[in-house]
Amino acid sequence: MKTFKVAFVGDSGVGKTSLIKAFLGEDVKSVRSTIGIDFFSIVKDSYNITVWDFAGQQWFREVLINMLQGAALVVMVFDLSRPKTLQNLIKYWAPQVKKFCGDRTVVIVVGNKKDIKKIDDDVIISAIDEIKKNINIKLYLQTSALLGENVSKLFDTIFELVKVTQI
Amino acid sequence: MEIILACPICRKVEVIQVENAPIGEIKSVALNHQDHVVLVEYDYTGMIRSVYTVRVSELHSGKTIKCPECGKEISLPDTDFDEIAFIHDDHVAIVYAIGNKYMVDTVKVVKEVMERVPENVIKKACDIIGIDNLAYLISKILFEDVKVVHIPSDAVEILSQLFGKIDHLRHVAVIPGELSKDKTINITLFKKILSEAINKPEREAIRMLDHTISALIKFSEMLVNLLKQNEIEQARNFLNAFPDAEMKQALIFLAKKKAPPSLVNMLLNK
Repeated sequence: MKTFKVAFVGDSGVGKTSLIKAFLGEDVKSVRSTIGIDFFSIVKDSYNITVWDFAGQQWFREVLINMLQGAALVVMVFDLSRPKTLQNLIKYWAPQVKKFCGDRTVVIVVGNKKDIKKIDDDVIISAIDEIKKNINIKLYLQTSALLGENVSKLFDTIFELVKVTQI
Repeated sequence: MEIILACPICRKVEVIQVENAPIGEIKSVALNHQDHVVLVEYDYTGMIRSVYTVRVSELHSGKTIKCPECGKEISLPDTDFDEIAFIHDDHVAIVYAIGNKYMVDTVKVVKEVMERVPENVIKKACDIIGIDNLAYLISKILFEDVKVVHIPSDAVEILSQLFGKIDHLRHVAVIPGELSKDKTINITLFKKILSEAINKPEREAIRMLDHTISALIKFSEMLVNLLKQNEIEQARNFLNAFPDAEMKQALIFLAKKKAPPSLVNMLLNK
């Protein structure tokens, strides 16, 4: 079975772990801040993805960020209710993805917490245009881990992209 | 709930009272520090997720937009900026430049409720027994799975208090006695963490130590599992991915204790 590393990155509290747990059918209400990195193994159609769920907190970021190396696909998550987390995709996360994974690694951008969205779509589009200048974004998706909205679509897309790219 | 934080710019330590955050959401409050505001984001457990500062705007004559909270007009700078703050009495308007757009977010301003902050228990413990000795005790407990430690009687109370606040040390019994040191125990990781933690507010310091211990245990288990499955190359890549020399040394030390020596030698001999 082929195994692929998929990294979830983004600021603390954007809902990276909640998205993964929502897909796995686990309780998202009791999710707490990730310590270091958590690992989840998901199998579908003879493809195995190991999801590396990176802690968003600054202290861990500095220690662990170079573990992005070797990711076949990166999911960059921001919080649709906190503009700073979108700005940090441009200022911090996209440069890190480019540095450690290169500019050809497939990236999905996820705006999570659609249920409490505050950021206008034109601001998001402008941000994604900016990020696209440096990395290979294949999809932008809005999700709600709390309501389970678009969570399956996100993971279906991850598997499709992994298969198609065969990295 | 109460939150203690240190301003990243002026280092002022403050205690603030904040509303609980709903489950699944991150709440923000702002502190007015005159030429900058401190933005604090916390979750439903009261854990601070981020603290950052934004420069407060001076008078500008650039493009104007309206504050969504009070309708006041905001004049933006003519020069490029990432984010800038405008204080409007009980709230602060933060203008973010994202791509080629602006977005205004408003955050409630809170006031400090306490000037004196309770003394950091890690600092107190280090003052009594010294950083090296405390780093040694923590390292020994974790590396050798020790359940009882003997320490000078004047440090028993403070160490019991400190260990009670850390998940992986809570079960350790602290008994008065002579502290004898085994020089082969590697203390560099915890010496570094404690040296940083003593200068932080207590909650942040405890969190830092607690998370370091949890991360070390989690990573060492991963490393040992990789070794036991004969995935030497993967284990080596995993270990080499750590930029932090102290964490790497501690992981090697733990691997030597928990994995067969032949596998550890293979890990290190290339």
